[in-house]
Amino acid sequence: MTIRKRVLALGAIFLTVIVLGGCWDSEPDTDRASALMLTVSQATPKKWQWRFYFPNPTVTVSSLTQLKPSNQFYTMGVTASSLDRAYTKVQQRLARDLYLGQLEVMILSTKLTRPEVLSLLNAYNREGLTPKTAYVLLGAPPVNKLALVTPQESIPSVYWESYFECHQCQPEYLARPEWKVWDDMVTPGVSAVVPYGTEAYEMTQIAVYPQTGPPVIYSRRATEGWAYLKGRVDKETIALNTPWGRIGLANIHGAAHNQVWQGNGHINVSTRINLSVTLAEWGSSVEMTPSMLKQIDMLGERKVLARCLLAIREANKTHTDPFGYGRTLWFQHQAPEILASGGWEPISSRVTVVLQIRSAGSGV
Amino acid sequence: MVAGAIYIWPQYIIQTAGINGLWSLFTTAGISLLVLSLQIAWVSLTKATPFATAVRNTWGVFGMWLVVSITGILCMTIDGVMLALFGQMLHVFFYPLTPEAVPIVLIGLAGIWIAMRSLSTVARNVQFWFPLILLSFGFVVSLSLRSVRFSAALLPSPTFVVPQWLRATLSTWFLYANGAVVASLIPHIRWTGRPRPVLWTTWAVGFQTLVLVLVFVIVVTTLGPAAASQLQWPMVYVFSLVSVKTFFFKGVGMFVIITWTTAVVLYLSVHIYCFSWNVQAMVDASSLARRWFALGAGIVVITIAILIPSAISAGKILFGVLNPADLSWTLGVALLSVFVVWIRHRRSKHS
Repeated sequence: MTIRKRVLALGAIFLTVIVLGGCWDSEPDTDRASALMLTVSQATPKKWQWRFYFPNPTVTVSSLTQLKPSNQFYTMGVTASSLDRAYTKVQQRLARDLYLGQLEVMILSTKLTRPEVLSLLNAYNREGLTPKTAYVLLGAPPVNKLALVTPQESIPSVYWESYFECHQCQPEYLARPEWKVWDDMVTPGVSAVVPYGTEAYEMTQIAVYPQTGPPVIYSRRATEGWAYLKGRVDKETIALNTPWGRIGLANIHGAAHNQVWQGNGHINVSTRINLSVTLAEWGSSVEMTPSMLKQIDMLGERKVLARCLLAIREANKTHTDPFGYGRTLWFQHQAPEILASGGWEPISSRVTVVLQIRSAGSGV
Repeated sequence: MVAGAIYIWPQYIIQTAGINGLWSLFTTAGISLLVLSLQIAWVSLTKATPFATAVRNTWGVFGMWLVVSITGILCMTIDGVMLALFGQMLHVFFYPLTPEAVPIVLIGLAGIWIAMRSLSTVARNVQFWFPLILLSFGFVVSLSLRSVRFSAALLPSPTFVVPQWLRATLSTWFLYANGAVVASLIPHIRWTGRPRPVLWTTWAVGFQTLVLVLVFVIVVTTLGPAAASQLQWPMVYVFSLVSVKTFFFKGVGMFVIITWTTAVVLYLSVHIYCFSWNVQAMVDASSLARRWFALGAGIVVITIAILIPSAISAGKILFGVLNPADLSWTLGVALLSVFVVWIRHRRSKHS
């Protein structure tokens, strides 16, 4: 091939690439509304209220310090029967292409039942560009009061995204990305768990989806128990009343080891929880001895154990399995028929808690 | 033997056989190895290259036309379906506003362009890109190990259902089907030592199986079998969980999509090259004519890919028609031919 021909061939290739490649998917930011947060609640029995939160495009990095946090975002709410309808309606109102590729948080109302949430998540999953790692939260309606935005740094983001990304900020790790919630909903033997917030900046309980109906909200203590049993405790604290006054245990963290087997009409579980803690607070006049430490250990263990048993009682009462014990059985191919048909079996659990004071701070 | 459309794949076998799909994977690898060794024995007994000449030496001119055209049609249809699936995948995950036909035509053209060059150019391209493709695959796999949740999901099921196992075995075949590419290329390898075609083919099949097992294991341990069987593109879905903010829009995603596309381009070009080469041998044409055959074959593949309306119908065609047809045809022809050639070989020795 001569040079001339080669240049011609290359030119033809580039032309094809440019002409065919086109710019269908490259849109300027001003033509695109990139939602960071989505809240869904019930408007009427058939229709839902969808609210999308967008970073304000007029905000510049230099103007961030002067703006109120609420001005850094704008919202758009529509009533629609499905995610796709909501999409279209928002696009119509904004005259921009709605883009969910940057979604960070999805807040759902507690009024939505499991089948409703599942169909919403299915629709969300079908879309290829939506990030499946967006966090799902639950709140009592109106869910808008949970939709927090914090003072921004240079990149706009939503409060809950920052919170769940910060492992040091949470006593228990409750974060549930969308893909895990969906996965739990379609897998037999486990009830999907979503963190539940009562008011602004408080996301300390879990909501668990039974097979039908709206989610069951676990009490704060049952949630703690769930976290201990799942080994999701990162930085919990306990206050103990002892003969030597009030004693605080802090920085509680550890792991849980399970053994699950099929019983007669119930699920047998044996759990061992190993926790290490820091002795945080005790009266300055008290002199600590090893035997006192042992007693404190025991008191702490008892308290943790009570929370764990509370969580299991709650699960048995509400016919849910937020621990995924049934799923373990299903993976081991024990009782697959009951679980695959959406059945539920009571949990009978034996829990051992081992608590160890690793450090006593710097001491005074 | 670069696997083209593994993007869609684990869904179907998990749907049919659940966790036992893993056994089917090994079975398919075994069948593939059997077919390839038969084909290698065939070409080395007839001492002919490419594949079409070996067929002519065994079955005569009419037999050659029949065998090569049916093999070609099956192979090109599988390629077309794979290209369609890849285009759909790009459309769903990366370019929702771009029509599916655009990436299909572009990738097809790139494949044709390489296939129209000489054998050494094709081989050098594959040689250059292959390690890069593997590297990027290994990179994404190592990143997605973080989202692995259930190692218990891999526990083998105590109930082993034979029909399910066979169906799943069949459904994996298309990843191993290569339309006599190996048989055509093997005689052209310049061996440094004693030629060991079967050993090398075993390595190649083993390696491909390793990659597929890795994909299967990662998908199942991340999502569990129940969820994995509901997703159309389980593998891409799992890879997209590698913190989306870094995966699809910045660095990593772009890097990966380039290497995936390259893999498909190379896969197509090798297939088109071999097909055009066989046609050339069949009609005794010049090497210029071979380029036109390559162009024609490529256009057929692109047309098939565009004509397939959706990923769902592509899956139906692939799993319902192409897999069983190609497996039975390839295995049947190879078995029969080797038998015939072997008998003749023995007779000629005795006489």
